[in-house]
Amino acid sequence: MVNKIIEFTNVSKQYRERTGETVNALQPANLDIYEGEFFTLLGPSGCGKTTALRLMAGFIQPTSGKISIRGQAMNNVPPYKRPVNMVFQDYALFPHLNVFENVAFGLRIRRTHAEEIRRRVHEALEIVQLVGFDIRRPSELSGGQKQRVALARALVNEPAVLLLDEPLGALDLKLRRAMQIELKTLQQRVGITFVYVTHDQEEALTMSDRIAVMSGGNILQVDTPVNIYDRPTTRFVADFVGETNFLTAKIQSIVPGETVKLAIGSDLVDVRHRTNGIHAGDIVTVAIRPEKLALIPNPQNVEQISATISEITFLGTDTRYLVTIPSGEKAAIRVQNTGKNKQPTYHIGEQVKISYEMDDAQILTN
Amino acid sequence: MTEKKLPIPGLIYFVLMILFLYLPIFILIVFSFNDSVILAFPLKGFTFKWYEQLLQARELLLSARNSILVGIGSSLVATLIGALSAVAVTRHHMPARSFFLGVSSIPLVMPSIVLGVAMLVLFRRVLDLDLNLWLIATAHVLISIPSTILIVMARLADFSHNLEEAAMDLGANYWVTLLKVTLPISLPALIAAFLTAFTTSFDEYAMTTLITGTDTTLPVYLYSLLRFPRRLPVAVAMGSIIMVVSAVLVILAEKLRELGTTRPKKENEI
Repeated sequence: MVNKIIEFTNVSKQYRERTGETVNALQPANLDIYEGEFFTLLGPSGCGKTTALRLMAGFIQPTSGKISIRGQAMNNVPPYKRPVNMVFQDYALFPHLNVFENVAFGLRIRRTHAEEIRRRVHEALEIVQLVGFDIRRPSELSGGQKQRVALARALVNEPAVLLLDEPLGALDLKLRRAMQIELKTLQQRVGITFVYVTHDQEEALTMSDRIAVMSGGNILQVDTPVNIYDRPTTRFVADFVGETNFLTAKIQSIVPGETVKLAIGSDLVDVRHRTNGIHAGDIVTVAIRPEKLALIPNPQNVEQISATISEITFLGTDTRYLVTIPSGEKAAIRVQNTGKNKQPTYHIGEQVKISYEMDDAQILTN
Repeated sequence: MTEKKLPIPGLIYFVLMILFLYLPIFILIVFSFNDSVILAFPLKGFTFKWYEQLLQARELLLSARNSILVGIGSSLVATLIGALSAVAVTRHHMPARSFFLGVSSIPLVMPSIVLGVAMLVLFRRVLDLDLNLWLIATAHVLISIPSTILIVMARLADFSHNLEEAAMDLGANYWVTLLKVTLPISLPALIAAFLTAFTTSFDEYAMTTLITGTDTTLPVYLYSLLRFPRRLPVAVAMGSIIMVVSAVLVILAEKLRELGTTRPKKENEI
């Protein structure tokens, strides 16, 4: 990860609706994508992730700002002159061409020598494990196979960046899982930069080197999957990626770079100081993952909050407890059913303490 | 096609339907070989003489030739205009899209007799032109355009715009995309549009009869034959030939289409 391969400088995109009002599909955004990484644009539908991808592909032009690919300005460069290729959500295989000709399409346009076309197409088909499918028509293929042809058709051109628009969206869950791993392995093997669009947070966490979480045309956070999960900076990111408890807290005091003392419910607890722009007296939101909360009161080195158990759900590997803290807010706690150190049994209405380690809670910015 | 045996009610329905559709045509063919001027049962005897007379009927053959020329010419132009309009409507942000579609489908609902009168007034009174086959062909283009637009539009709307984006993404510019992706995929629709336009032109009577000058098309000529009962069997023979030729054409087109879809089996080379 040395060279920037795609660079957005203040790139925005507005559409004019028929009614005359403008829609901000992408707010002015800066984004750097590095060579060889698996980069994911994650967000709900309408968040601007596909707009960002189509801006990279050149199907649409930015309203303002500058897009560079490999250091070259790409504004007003048409899609057919960009060193990127795209895998479409519905595969977009040419129905009138067989698998071989679909994959060979880009090479033929570039007037590659027939012998080389044959070699490269077969290499590409080998990479996606479709050897011997040359003369099949797209209509004769299963969803997963179409997906692979679409991949081969893009990869055969050796693009600088491969753009993938929810490529697994139409596959069933099991095939999806298998393809996720396959795609990731493939990306590592060919070494091409992947820019991947998805609304599936699990998919994003599994495959990506880095994730950009988007909402309402804004890029909220760009970080590694671990940091997106453990250190979300905004409520949206924390909520969109995995399950999270949000607890309202009042800041009592701050030891810069060390700890923040908070009042949650009827207790005073500490949280690691990692968030800028907060001051004593502020009302903030603290995010804690349910699996990072514990029910066993183990008073050493942990922060504790008094609570009452209001719901118990047995989930097999885990048990999920819903507790109410004195302020009336609810928090979910997941306790693994390890069996080793037998969990004490709790019942609804029981007074308990919930605890967490200081590093596992995150103060969010508004 | 299906291996299963047809259930009896289905079979009866099928036979009745076929009779309903093809009995008139079959009777036409039978009478074309009947040795009598009067088209009535009982049949008199087998003869080829109506077909022999047909070969001598210069004017009838001329009008058939006119119909074919006007049909092919007007259908080609109508298909081209229809296809381009369909691309404009489905693939580009066209201003006044629905207005354009509405206006272009007016000939579909306008009685052709009214159109004929309008054209007659336009050609003779306003433009002061001599009525000829070119004007008939032009008028036929007008009435064929609505169906060609709709047929090609349906096909274009049917396949995802992503296909064209994919072609561009793979290095094809606008024209290469049109040539290598849009057109081949729309080819069945283009053929269908052409055939529909040809049929429209070939059997258009009401309008054509009003704007006919010295040269005329087959339907108009055949209708004028009705005034001469002795010539009627010749018209019947002509009708039979047209029927057989069009049936062969339709079957051929269908076979070609089938070949088109199973062709990949041989494309292994390269």
